[in-house]
Amino acid sequence: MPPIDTLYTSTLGAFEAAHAGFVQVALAVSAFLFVIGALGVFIRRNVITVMMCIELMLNAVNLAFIAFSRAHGTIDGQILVFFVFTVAAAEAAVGLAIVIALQRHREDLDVDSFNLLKG
Amino acid sequence: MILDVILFYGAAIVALASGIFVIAQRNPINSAFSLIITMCSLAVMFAMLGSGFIAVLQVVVYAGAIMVLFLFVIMLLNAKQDEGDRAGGIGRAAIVLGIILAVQAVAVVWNGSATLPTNYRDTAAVDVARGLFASPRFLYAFEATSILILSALVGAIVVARKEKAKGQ
Amino acid sequence: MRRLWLGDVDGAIALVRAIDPRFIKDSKAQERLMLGLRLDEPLALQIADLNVGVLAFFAVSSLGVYGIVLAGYASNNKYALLGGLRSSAQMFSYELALGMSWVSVIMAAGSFRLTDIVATAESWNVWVWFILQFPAFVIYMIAACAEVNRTPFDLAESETELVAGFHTEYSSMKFALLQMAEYINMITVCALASNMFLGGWLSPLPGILPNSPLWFFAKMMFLLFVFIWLRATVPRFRYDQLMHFGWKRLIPAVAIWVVFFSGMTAFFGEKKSPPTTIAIANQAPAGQVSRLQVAK
Repeated sequence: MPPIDTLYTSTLGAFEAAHAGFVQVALAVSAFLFVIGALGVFIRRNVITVMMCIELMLNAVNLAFIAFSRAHGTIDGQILVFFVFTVAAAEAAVGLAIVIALQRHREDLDVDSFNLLKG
Repeated sequence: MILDVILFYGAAIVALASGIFVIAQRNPINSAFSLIITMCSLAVMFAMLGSGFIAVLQVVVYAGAIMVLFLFVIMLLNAKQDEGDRAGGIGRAAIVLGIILAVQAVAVVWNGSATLPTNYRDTAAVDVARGLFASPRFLYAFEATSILILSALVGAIVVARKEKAKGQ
Repeated sequence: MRRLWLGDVDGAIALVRAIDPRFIKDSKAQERLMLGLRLDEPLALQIADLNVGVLAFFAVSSLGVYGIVLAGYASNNKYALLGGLRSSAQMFSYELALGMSWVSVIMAAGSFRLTDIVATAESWNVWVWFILQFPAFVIYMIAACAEVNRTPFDLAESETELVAGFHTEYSSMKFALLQMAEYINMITVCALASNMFLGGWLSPLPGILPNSPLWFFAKMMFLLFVFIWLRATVPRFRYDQLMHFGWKRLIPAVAIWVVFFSGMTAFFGEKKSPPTTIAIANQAPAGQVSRLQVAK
């Protein structure tokens, strides 16, 4: 048997039994965190907090990807997580630049106050 | 093995609790720190699910860079605490709908069953790299993200720049 | 399984020899040495030889930025806040150059694992390794100096010019913790440099002197000496000069080095330790999912 590169040591037999539970718990946590993030986007008034809740949703999706990668034994989930990191970083940078520009124009970070287009 | 179980479920509980704190705290800095804790506990869960490389990347990219950016913006813009509910009663409706959605999501996930492949091993960076370059769609997406980052960089600088005084 | 117990003064002579199990079996005095360790198998002096070793260090040092940001913010003092933000902006600006300076080392070693890097340095000659990685080493030392807020990059906390930057409002034990953290950070980056660029525990005279952990400490101490020497010698950068240097000079320099080194690697072929025996089975044709399987 070739040596297995692991991040931590454990025996391989009981490993599998615990890890089947891990995948399910991870998916449940991912779903729950996603819903919490979505709730945050609806509830919170501060623009920056809304953006942080969007990041929370992205993290929940990352967890789901990794859990499925573990369940299927493929590497594709982890590669997609790689891409999600990149896109989330780019989006956070541009979003925060927009927030800075908003603050400079309006001195206000309340989501409900940007209602000039309201009918 | 018992340590694995304790660590994983502990990290899951911490992730959920700090996720709830992210939306429940009024001060945006407390929300940011709760989000950092969420990200670190998610990194622990990633490591337990077999991808230590992605776990470390999560800490480096998200908790180490993106959240620092968030903290900087919060501190420089002196973001105040939230006051009261959103206009139009959307807050209360959101909570009700959120509870329903959470119950549905968890029920769907919980009723599935996972049979894991038996010859699994924890993946290293070299596997992610090989997977990236194995099929062309990932390769093209990888190159495209570099252009995406460049455009985000230029866009962020342009948007956040102070306006030049007229006549210069 | 024999166990060694603390308490024998004679045996305290050879700490290094005690760690190598070949020497333990010889003398009774050396048996009763330290720490109750089982020494039938070789003892790794690492707590964890992580697969993603170098990246784990990078992750933890990225989290170190929060200490400074929070120290400044919690001071209820706008100058301390600004000092903390400036200091942390400097830290994560130079983190980019720091991380990229490792790329050539990791590329040559083929792995993120710290022991693999030293093993690769051993399979090349230590001196050949050092000379070939020298530009990366210089860039790493500059970036590490900025990363730990050390002169000449310490404007944010300079005791002679500002009041004290982010640790203005801290005194006695809290300040001691911050200063100790800075010195521990310094020690850590020196230890990492000695591992990655200077060959770690390999001896500089490969045939004549044996490898030993003392070489690691000696190299680390030498780099610490260089840091302290720099502090006494070089004047500090102004903050905008510092940021200009980090973003516009150091990052392009390290990017050019990475391009050059990867060109050399592609041209000359990689010369590294044998690949791990785990391979992707069934290379996936385009459009299909690639499967990972352990080679039994």
